[in-house]
Amino acid sequence: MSLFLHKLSNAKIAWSIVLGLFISSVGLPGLAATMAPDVLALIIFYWATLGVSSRPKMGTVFLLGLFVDFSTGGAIGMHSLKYVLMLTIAIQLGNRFQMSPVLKQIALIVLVLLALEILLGGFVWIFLKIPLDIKSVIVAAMWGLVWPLVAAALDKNYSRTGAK
Amino acid sequence: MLGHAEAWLRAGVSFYAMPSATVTSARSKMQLYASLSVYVGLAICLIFFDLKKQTFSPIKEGISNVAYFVGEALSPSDDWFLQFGSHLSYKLSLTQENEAYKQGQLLKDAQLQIIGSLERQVEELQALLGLYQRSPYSMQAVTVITATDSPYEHTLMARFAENAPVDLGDYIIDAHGLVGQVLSVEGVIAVIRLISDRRASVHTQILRTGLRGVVFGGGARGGLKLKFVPEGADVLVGDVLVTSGLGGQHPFGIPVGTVVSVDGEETSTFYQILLKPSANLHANEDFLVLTGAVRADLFDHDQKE
Repeated sequence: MSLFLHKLSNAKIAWSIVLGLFISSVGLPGLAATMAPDVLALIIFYWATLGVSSRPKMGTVFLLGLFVDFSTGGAIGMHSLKYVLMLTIAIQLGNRFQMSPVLKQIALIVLVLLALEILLGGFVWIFLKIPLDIKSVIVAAMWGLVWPLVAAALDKNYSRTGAK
Repeated sequence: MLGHAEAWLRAGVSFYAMPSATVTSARSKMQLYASLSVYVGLAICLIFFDLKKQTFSPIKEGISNVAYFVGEALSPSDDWFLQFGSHLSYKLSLTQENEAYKQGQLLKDAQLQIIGSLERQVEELQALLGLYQRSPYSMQAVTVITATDSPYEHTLMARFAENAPVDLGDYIIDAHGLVGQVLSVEGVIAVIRLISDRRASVHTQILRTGLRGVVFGGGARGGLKLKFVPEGADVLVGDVLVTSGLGGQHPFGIPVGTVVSVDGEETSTFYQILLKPSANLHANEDFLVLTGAVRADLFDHDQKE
């Protein structure tokens, strides 16, 4: 995967984000809402690690999180915080993440998701005194295992018109 | 990179004296952290107000309801997947079943046609056998090998038994009437000219009135023509014409055809009479050849009159 020569298509990025937004908001058939995958987080992470040209803006990510929060009926600001932090982590990792082995990528993604879920659960505990639901935290983090699928799907979806 | 920038600053070097790339990188990092701080703070505030103060509950409830209905409408349910899968498998099995039925039906149709053909052949052979048994004449069976496709030449090539006394001019009949005449014989193969051939002619007699006339083949138009019958003669539609037996070579009374139309022409003094052949000229495979003497009636005409 050449990351530096290909010009990314904004339309493809936008469509992938819309699709991720749909899945994150509506969920998948046959899955409980608490078990639904947060595909949008993975998509944001993917585009952010590719480079400046494909990186979603922080404000956009924040609004996407708000949309997910409103549509899922969750606590407002939770997904915004999650996506903003994921974007920042992805920017920090950058190309080093893309060039690392897949297993390392998966492990890192799972760890990031786990940390973020614990952080969000911490806010719930602080404000509502509701203890952290370990099961839902682990499930949310385990969705990081689908990272290779998301990466493969998005990898085929960006334009190579700028590769000359 | 930020660490480098701080090191530069700590060393008392002017910020603007740093290399430009390092300055840009440091600025972008600072901008990133600044944005991050703002958005994280905003998010925490939103979380606080939502969880602690329930500020967004009414909005969230309304939007959540709308999103729920939209999601329900857009997202396929488990039932939908099951029904779709069931529908596909059912359709597939129906298609396969239908194909099997079609194949079976084709085979049955072919079998029915074969049975129908055999039944017709058996009936024809039974009729020929009955004719053979009650006939005082010597007869030989012939089987058609080929037939001409030309509309202007109606001939058959037929095979008969070895040593059978088949000669030129012998009449060929089926169970209903005259079919034709032997045109040539070579070995056990005889060429038969059908009475519908335009060059064929048979001397006939109207069974009802005894009026004699010559029947010619219709050629390309098919059928038969009774020619040279003067206007005013007693000929009616439905009259049966039989062989006249004149000359003594052929028997009297073999049905040749039935009158289907009688027309007068202004330019001629003769009727134009069209006949339908009594025999099935183009349908059967087996015929009889009259090879013997000529005397009594071969066909029972009571039913035809």
